[in-house]
This record gives sequence, structure tokens and C-alpha cells, in this order.
Amino acid sequence: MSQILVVDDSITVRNEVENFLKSQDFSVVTAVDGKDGLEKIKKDREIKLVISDVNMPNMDGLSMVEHIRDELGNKTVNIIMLTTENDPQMKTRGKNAGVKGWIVKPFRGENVVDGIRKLVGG
Amino acid sequence: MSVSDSEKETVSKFVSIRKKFILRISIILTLSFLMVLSVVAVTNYEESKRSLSKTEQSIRDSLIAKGRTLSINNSQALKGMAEDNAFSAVQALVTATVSDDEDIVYGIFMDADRVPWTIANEDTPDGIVESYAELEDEASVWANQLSQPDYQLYKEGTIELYEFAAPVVVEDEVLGTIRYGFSTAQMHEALESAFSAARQLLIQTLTMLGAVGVAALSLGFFATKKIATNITTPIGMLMGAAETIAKGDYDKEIELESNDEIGLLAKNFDTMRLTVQKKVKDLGELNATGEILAVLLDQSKALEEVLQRMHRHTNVNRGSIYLARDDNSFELKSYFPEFPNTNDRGPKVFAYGEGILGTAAKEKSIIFVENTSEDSKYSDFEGNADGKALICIPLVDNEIVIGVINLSGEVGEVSFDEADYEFASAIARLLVTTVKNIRMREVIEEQNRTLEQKVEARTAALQEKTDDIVNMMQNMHQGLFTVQDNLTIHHEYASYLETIFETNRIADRNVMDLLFSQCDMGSDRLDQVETAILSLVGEEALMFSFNSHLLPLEYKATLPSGCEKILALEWDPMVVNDLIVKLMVTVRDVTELKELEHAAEEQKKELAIIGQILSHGASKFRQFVQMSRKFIKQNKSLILTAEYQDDEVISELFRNMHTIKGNARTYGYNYITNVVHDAETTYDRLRKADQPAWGTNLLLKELDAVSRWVNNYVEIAESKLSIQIDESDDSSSESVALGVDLKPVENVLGQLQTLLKNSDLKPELRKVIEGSSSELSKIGAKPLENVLSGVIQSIPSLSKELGKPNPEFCIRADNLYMKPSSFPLLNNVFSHIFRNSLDHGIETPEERIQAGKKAEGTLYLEAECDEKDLVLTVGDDGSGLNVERIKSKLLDQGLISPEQELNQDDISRAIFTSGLSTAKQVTAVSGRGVGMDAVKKFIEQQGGEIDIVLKQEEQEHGPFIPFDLKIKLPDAMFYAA
Repeated sequence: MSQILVVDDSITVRNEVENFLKSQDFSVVTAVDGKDGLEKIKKDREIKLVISDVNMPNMDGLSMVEHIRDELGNKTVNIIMLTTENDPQMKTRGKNAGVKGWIVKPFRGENVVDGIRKLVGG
Repeated sequence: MSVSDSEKETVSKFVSIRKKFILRISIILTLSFLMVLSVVAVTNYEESKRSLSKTEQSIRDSLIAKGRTLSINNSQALKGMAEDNAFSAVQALVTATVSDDEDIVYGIFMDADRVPWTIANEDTPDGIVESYAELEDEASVWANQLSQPDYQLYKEGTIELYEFAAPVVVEDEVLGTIRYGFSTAQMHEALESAFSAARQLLIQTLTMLGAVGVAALSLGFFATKKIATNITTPIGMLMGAAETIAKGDYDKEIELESNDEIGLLAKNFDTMRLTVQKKVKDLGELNATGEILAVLLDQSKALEEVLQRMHRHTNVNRGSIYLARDDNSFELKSYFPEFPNTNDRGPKVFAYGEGILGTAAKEKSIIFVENTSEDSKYSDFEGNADGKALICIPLVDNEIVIGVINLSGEVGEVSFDEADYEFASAIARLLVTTVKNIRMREVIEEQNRTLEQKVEARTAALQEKTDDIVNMMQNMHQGLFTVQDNLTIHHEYASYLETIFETNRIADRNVMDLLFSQCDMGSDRLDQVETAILSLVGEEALMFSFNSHLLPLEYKATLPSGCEKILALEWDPMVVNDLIVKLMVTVRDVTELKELEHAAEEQKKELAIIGQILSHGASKFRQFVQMSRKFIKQNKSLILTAEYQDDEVISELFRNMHTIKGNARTYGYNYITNVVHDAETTYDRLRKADQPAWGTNLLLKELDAVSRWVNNYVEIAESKLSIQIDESDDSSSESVALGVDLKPVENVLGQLQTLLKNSDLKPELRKVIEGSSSELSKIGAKPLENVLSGVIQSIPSLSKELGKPNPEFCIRADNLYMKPSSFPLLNNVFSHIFRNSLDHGIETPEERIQAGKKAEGTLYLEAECDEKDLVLTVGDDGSGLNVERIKSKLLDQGLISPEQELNQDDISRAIFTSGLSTAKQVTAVSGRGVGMDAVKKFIEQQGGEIDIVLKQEEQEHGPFIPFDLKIKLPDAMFYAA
């Protein structure tokens, strides 16, 4: 069953996203930072979509994305970043790393659920 | 002969034929001469050698004959001398003999014992022997044993010596031996001179021969040179001619008349020159034709050019070209020279394989007929009985015949040889290429023309569309523009935008700057909008659903003129290849619309308020207003005066507000409910926070809002419904219900009560006063059901709000009248209690059906009274109290220990303690855990009691225990009929 990985260091955001996605019958895995996220995606090849924060301790979201693409060679997983900023450099870096798009916080489940369903493929 | 130096260098070590010829002839002559010379010399030499040897032999023979004779003669002569031992005579004879002959080198006479009697030689000419010793040498030994005269040759170096010996026999006795030595020196001398003479002769002969040879050689050389020159001069000429041709000059004729091979060679060479000259000329012609054809754009001109060219080349006087048609036939396309009537000239059309032209096409090879009249195959062609020369050249492109060239001329005039076949083939190939090129160019030009037309049509259509769009943009009464990446506005935008924003500075401007530079949105919100736009433009179309909710749809903008406008925005993504390339923004000025909407909203609100007030009647409204104002006033003074914001103060604030909310909810004064809810929320937060952040201003502001809304209601009630609200705080006034003013009665009652407090009062008087006040207090009393009618009426709407079916309500209160003083208490208390029951007590229909109950719940209120006491029992058939939850709440608050079993008192205490609610969710109706403590407080303030009665000690149904509330009210509040 295809999974969604939610990566955010804020427990509030994490829970909010997780609870919403679960309420929509998605299967959800969570991670507390980029490092944790990388471990989770290594273990679980069923993950079809990653929703990740940008600024996190240990490893930030974009570094995690770059590791997923380069180190793990996983070019297929869709990645969406949660952000509040509009730093063009960050956007460019994300685009180069293969980020699918940006969800501007706050996360509103009802607005993104259709898109997420498309990305997860079901 | 002229051979250029460069050519001599090219041929490595060039040696001319002449030189080679002369050299070889000279060498042969010299060698022959030398051979003759050597033969002569050798023959001569051999001849002289043979004659010399003959001479030598004859000399030798004569020498030997002379020696033998001498020795024999001497032996005879010596006989006597030897018998006589005449030494001297012997000596004299020998000596004389030796000296007489030059040839004799020595003379010896020795006896039989080899003792010499005399030895005469050059040293001893007198022949005297010094020692008469026996001679022992080889010759002496040989001579001694001779019995007959003999000779022998001795050689000593070059000296040859013949020894002649003869025994001197006397009477068969050998007395001695005479010996003479003859030298060959004389003979050699003679031989030498003979040889010398012979050599002299040889030299003479050779010298003569040499002279003759040199003369012959010289003669030979000159003769050879002459012959060589005769041979090489024409070759040199040919070489020069070849050189000229090599330089590209074919015009110079080779003039060499000779009756030999050279002459033949020169003739052939000239023929070759002429052939090459023709080829070069043909090539030149072909090139020129090719160049002309290459630039011709017109097919007929190309055909004409080819005919002209062939005419000049082959001397034909008529020509025509046929080109293939789709139906496998050929059609006349060009002819030479111009004829006024084309019918005169052969067929206009012929089929593949038909006639000579058809044959040429079929066989794909050039046909040349020298004289058509002599060839039966072609005589009838063109209907021309007179003979003529005919040339047919097929035009072949990749094995496909696209046409035929037909040429004809006078017999004998037309020349068409082997080289002309090649020329004609080349011309045909050129023409094929040209025709193909021209046709291709025509096709391309046609395509270009079509393309141009299409482009023109498209351009026109596009222009029309563009014009339409520009018109629309200029005339539409909406602002419309697109946002590009980096947030700038595209220069094409609807003109009305300028009207809306009162500026013409729009193109390329930052969208945030144009829309939001002066607006009612905070910087954080604007930042969010900017981030959202940036996360859309240039991103995948999917992102629009993710982030578009952050784009504002309506806001208030302040424009340069200071005018405020409410603007409505619509955001649409412009998607190309699944990417959002731009955002299209529609701006509408909805200020007027909003004003109208607002006015309509206000009217609607007013109508709603009127409806709400009317639904429960003026008196209920009045009661509500008075109660609310009382609590607002209380809260205001609490907020302003409370020195410590302790729990007690906050609880009281909360209770008061909660009561207002409850009542507003009960009567359906919804606008008040909402605003009260906000205030209550703040209090609730304060109540629950560890360190309450007391904000006096905020609290007052919220209170003010509540007050304002109550006043709004009052204003509407007064202005639209003419309901007068008594400003007094006396909550017991109930003028409308009785139709009389109760105030005087209340005043009297108050006075009577004061009197009764006087202990000195006489018993009779007291009894009268008590009776009077009791009766007076009954004025305005009503049955309980009537008192609670407002609350009871609100039950259906409340249920609906909670999503539950309307419950059955049972009230049993016979013979009971409630005095007006009890009305506010009863209303407040029961609005709380019923709400609690509906919200938490009665389960959802599903739960109820599962528990085996009917879907609708039941609320009941029973009153039991005597003269002194009134007990009201209220309850529902809901799930009861969740004891477990109460327990865990109490545990959380540290009020009990985990081991402790709850008894009724504990539960009672818990229920009536501020801050406890077992509801899972805080709803607008109830559930904040205040309510019951407020209820208890109200009742106790009025001298009543409230308690909880669990209906089962045992927990039979899990954690839930059914219960009733029992309320005792003092006798001053009722009387039993």
C-alpha cells in the first residue's frame, strides 16, 4: 500500500498533517527531521509521496531531498515542501533537486487532498 | 630535339636516345677492332714462336751432329796416342780442339780409371792437369761406363750443356774416354736475334692495324651520329607536339612527312590530337550548356536551348523534344526552328514503343539513322519519302524515360560519330537534371505560395483575435491582468484596471505593490499571499489546488485619492504543458455591491432580531435584558475593581457570562450568543491558565461588545416593536404578564418584610402581616409550567442544533404556583439543566437505538410540595453520569487518590465544582464545566438546595450511572393550591 512520509520537527504540524491524511484513509509515516526522514524512506520503499518541512534540525528538508535523489537514487518519489518563505534560491535549489511543488503553510488538508491523491496515485 | 629541363628531371637520369645510340655503336666498333687486333697479334706470335722452335731444334740437331762427329773423330785419333801414352799429344789435340771451336766449353780425356790426362777449358787453356786424381762427378761416371759414343744434356740454371763422350777403344780395350762439353750459348744468341726480328715485325703489323682501326672508328662514329640524328629528330618533334597538347593547345597540327614508322606514328598522333580536340570542345559545350540550363527557370527555354545546342553540334536542321505524360505517352513540348503550324511536324503525341521515337524510349538508347530511305524500319516515319538523317535521344532518369529528343537533317550533312553519342547522352542527362530541378522548383514555389497564403490567413485570424482581445481589454468593466514570474504584471491588461486603481502605472509593476500597497491586510498575511503567488507561477498546475486558498478573494483597498474600495479578486492559473506560466487575476470593484449587501445584511439581521424577540414574547425579552445587564454590570465592576485576579473572581466572571449565554441560547438571541461566547472563551482561557494573562482592556472590550449587542436588541425592540425596557435592576418586575404594575405590590411586600423583621411585633399583628404578605406575594404567581414556558419552548430548537430528535418532555407539578420572585432563578437554572441534559445526558439516536431505547429521549420534571417545602426532581433517560471520567478528572486535579472508590458525595462535589465537564467537546450549547456550579450557586443564594441522587449504587452499565437532580426551594417562592 502506498505510503506518505510526513517530515516536520514541529509535533503540531506533524500531528495535524498526519491526522488529516489518516482521516482521508492514507497510510502515513512520520519523521522528526531530515535525517529521520531519510532513514524512513530507506526502509520503506512503498513511500510514494514525501511532504516535508524545510527548516529542521540535524538535516534540513532540501538536503534530505538531495540525499533521496542522489544517495538513494530514488528519482520517482514525489516530494512536496511545506514552506512559509519565498526565498528564490531555496526554490531553485528545490527545483534542481526535483521538488514537485511547495505548499505554503498553514497546511489546509481540504485544499490539498485532491492533489495529494493524484500524487500518491489512488 | 628539345626536351625541357623539367621533363629531363622528371625522367630520372635522362639520357637521350641519340647519345645512347652513338655510345653503343662506338663500344661495339671498338670491341670488334680490339678483337681483330688480338687475333692478329696472337696468330703472329704463335707463328714466330713455332718458327723459332724449329730453328732452335735444327741448331740443336746440328750442334749434336757436330759434337758426335768431333767426339768420334777424336776417339779414332786418340787411339794411337792413348796406346803410346803420349800425354802431350793428347793434351795438344784436346787443347787445340777446345780453342778452335767457340761452342766447346771444355775438353777432357780420362783413362779407364777416370784419371784425366788433360782438361782444357777457359781456366786451363793449356790442358795441363794439376792433379791426376780420379774424376768422381756424375758426368765422369756416366762417360766412363760408355762403350759407344753418346751424349747427354746437363742444365745448370739457364746454362744448357751438352756433353759428348766417346770411348777410345783399341783392340776391344777401352783405353780412355774423350769428352767435350758443348755450350748452347751460341745457339741461344742466334735464337734471341731471330725472336727479336719476329717481334719487330709484330709491332709493325699492330701499329698499322691500329692506325687502320682508329680511322674506321672515326668513320663509324660520324656515320652513327648521322643515323641517330635522323631517327631522333622526328621523335623530338612529336615530343614537342605532345608537350603543346599537354599544355592544352590542340590546334597545332603535327607536320611530319616520313615513309617509315615514325611517319605513321606522327599521323596517328595527329589523329589523336584531333579526337582530343573534339572531346575538349564537346566538354566545353556541355559545360556551357550545363551552366545555361542551371540558371533557366523555364522548362520550354531549357528545351529550346538543348535543341539549339544539338543543331549546332550535329548540324541537324530540325529538332523537337517530347516529354512523358501520365498516360505513358509523350507529348511535343518544343521544336526547332519555329514553325507557324505545328501540325506540319511529325506527331504531336506518340505512345511508348510507337515509331522510332517510341522505340528509342523503350530501348532507352540513342538511335542514329544515317538515311531513313535506306532503312525500311524508319522509311515511313514522319511520312517522309525522301531520306534524311535521324537522331533520337531518350531522356532517362533512373531507368524511367521522361522524354525523347528528336533531331533530323539532310543525309550527308549530319555527322554523328562515336564521340557524338557520348555528347548526346551527356546533353540528355543535363536536360533530365534541369527538367527535374525546374519541376521541383515549381513544386517548392507552389508550396511556398500555399504556405504564404496560409500564413497570411492565420496572421489575419490572429490579428482579428488580438484586436478582439485588445477591444475586450479596453472595454470590459473589470480589471484583468496576468502575473508573470517575479511577480510583475504583464503589459497587456484591461484598461478598466486603471479606473479601479486610479493609476496608469500598471504594466510591469509588482502585483503586490499594485493590489496591496494600501489595504486592510496585515504584513504577515501579505507575505503569505506573496509566497503563495511565487509558489504557483512557474510550478506545476497541481500546485494551484495546494496553494490557491491563500490568495485573497476580497479585501479593502485605500486608493491614492483616499477613497476606500472593496475589491473582489479571482485567481486563475494559465497552464501550458502542465505548468502554470501565469496567473490571471480578475479585479472587480464590489464596494457598492458590498454596501448594498451590508445594508441588506443589516436589514436581515434586524428582521432576524425582531423575529427572535417576538418568538418568546416581550416579557421574556425584558427579563433577559434585565438579567444580562445585571451580569454585565457585575462583570464590569469585577474587572475594574478586583484587586487580585484569583480563581474566584474569574469563576464568577465566567459564571455570569455563561448564564447570559445560556439564556440567550434558550431564547434564540443568536447574535448575542455569539458575542457572549467570545467573552466566555476568554474567561475560560483565564480560568484554565496557570498564569492568567489578565488583560483589562480586552476584557472590557469584549464586555462592551456584549453590552452593545444587548443594546442593539433593545434598540430594535423599542423602535420597531415598541417594547419598553425598564432600566431598573429589579428582576422581579413582571408588569406585562399581569397587566398591572407589580412595583407597588413589591414595595408593600418589601415594607411588610421589614416589619416582620422587628421581633417586638405583636403575635396577632405578625400573623396579619404574614398573611397579608403571603397573599400579596401570591400576586403574579404562575404554575411552574408557565414560568418555564420559554425554556420549554426552546427545547426543540436546541435539540435541532445538537443534531438530536426533539425529546419528549414530561412535567408533573400539580397544585403548585411559583411566585414572581422565583421566576429568574427558575429560568436560569432550568435553561442550564435542560441544556446539559440535551447535550450530554441524552445520547445520539444511534447510541440510543443500540442501547435498546427509543430514538427520542425523555426529559422529566416532577414537583412535590407541601406547605413548607418544594422538591423538584429533574432528570432524563440518557446514559447517566460517566463515573470513570469523573474519577479520572478528579485524579488529574489531584482531588482523590487512585485507590479511592467514589461515593455519592464525591460525585456530587465533583459535579458542582467549577471547571468540570465530562463533555468530550466544548459546544456552543454547553460543556465548559461551569453550569452546574453556577446553578448550585444561584440556588443557594436564593435559600434553596440542589443535590444529585444516583439511582443505582451498583455500576450495572459500565461507567455510566443514571441520576436525578433534586432541588429544594424555600417556601417564599411558591405556594401550594
